Amino acid sequence: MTTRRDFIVKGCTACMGLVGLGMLLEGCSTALPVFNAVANNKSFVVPLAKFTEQNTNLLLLRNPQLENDILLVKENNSYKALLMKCTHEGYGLVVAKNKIHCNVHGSEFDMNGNVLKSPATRALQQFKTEVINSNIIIHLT
Amino acid sequence: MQFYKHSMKHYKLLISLFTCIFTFYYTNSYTQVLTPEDSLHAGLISENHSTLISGYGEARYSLNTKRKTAEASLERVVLFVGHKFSNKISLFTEMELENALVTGSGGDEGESGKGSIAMEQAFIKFNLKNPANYIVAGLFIPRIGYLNENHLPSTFNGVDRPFAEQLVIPAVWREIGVGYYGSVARVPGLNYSVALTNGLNSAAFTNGSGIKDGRQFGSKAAGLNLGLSASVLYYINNFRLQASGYIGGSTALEKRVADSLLLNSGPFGNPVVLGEMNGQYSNNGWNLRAIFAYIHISEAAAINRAYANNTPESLYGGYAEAGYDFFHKKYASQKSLIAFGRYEYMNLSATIPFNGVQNDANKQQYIVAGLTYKPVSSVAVKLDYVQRITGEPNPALIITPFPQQIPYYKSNGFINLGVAYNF
Repeated sequence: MTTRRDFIVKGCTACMGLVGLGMLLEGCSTALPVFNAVANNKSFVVPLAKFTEQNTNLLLLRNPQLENDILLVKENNSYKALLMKCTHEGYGLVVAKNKIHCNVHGSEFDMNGNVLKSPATRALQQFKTEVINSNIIIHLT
Repeated sequence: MQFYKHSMKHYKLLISLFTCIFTFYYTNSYTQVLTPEDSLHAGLISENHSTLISGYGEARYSLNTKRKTAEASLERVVLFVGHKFSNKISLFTEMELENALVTGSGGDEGESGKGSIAMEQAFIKFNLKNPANYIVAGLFIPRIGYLNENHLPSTFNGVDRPFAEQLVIPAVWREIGVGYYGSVARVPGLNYSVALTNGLNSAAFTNGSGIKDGRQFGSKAAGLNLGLSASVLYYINNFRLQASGYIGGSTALEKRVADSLLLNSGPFGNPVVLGEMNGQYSNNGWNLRAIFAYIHISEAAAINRAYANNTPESLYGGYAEAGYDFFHKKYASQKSLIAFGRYEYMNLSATIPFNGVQNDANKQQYIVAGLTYKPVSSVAVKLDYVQRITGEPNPALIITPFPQQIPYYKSNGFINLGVAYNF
């Protein structure tokens, strides 16, 4: 018979295990930088310096007016802006090292937004970007 | 003059009719149904409302080589309807019709319906500040096992869902509750979830199908018992690694009745504990996946005493599958021809309580080999062969006398054909 004490002990052990695993993984990874962007006439402005400051090729853009984040991908000196919304059923996507995943139904996308694995069939929505002075402008329309 | 008045009356009627149609069209156009493509544009600042239709389905033909019988069925058709109320709040629903016909007593179909209709999901999703983190509330599928969430038939190999994820982890397992889904910002690819749902109903447990028949599906789920599940999911390089656990009370009765049956009641009375781990590797056309799940029912003896349903104390199972896509270089993910093989082993009554009856037919192996052809990524044509090998059924459990008893073959082969789609 499982006693209340057994249940609490097992539950706490499992929780500590999960927390420990999380800390272990955190220790060997680099965080994906998030930039809280301000909308300016249906476009976002991101300073180019954000990439060098963070020493990264990936930047997540977040704004309360957006349903999902936008992933800004730097490739040489060009920038892609991908909406982190699965084209299958609209769930938010998560970014791993070299792929973008939908946790819910398993769709996968590459860093250009192309589908690697169904059930999604369409590439991620991409926004036009341009570099003006030392800023990247992301046009939402 | 009389004619003029008569014509004016008709004219006014016509104007009223057009006004009604226009009003109807105008009010409905606000919440018009959008295709998935249209909906892509709905996530932006300018558009806060949108409705999305999606779905999937599968049909199959299965030949039992030993019994010389066959079965053809429209296994399921699922219609997904989602609606975005605002950038933070959305509705997700999936309605499932299994086996084509529920009842036809009033129509041409007669009364031969063998199907069922059910809600597979119906929940509200509340996005948090980080849109990858959200709360769901309603009827939803907790993250337990691989196939439970990833159950679209065009995305897995084989006409049948893997048997271990039907009999050990009962996919698709949905209950009423609240779930939190999050990702760890500091570790790209690391995700987790915690869910609290209603519990299982041990009165419905059936020997040989684990806890599957104890699911309550949000259909007037009874009892104060709860189910608590948690998962960790990590994407690293070409691996997808997941571990999850579940603990839930299985007495779906009010205390007064539970007491009379000598069953523990309350949130975690007569608990079912499930643990599973699964991993997947995808690269260069290869897809390798393995899963193992274990269930422990510590109060199985009490459940048997109350319901005489031969509930085991523990059961386990798992599988390993390898698949290779011959088209991956030429067509990327647009077209596929996948050859796959899978081995499954499960013991659905690994340990039994003192009042249980052992049945070696619950020791099962499945060897599956087949092809999945996808002319487009969301349509699959499947062909496979399944060899099922089990132990000897316990004659003490056979209650149907000869000749009504259906012959049991310890080793049996099935040839399956199927088509599946999602959109």
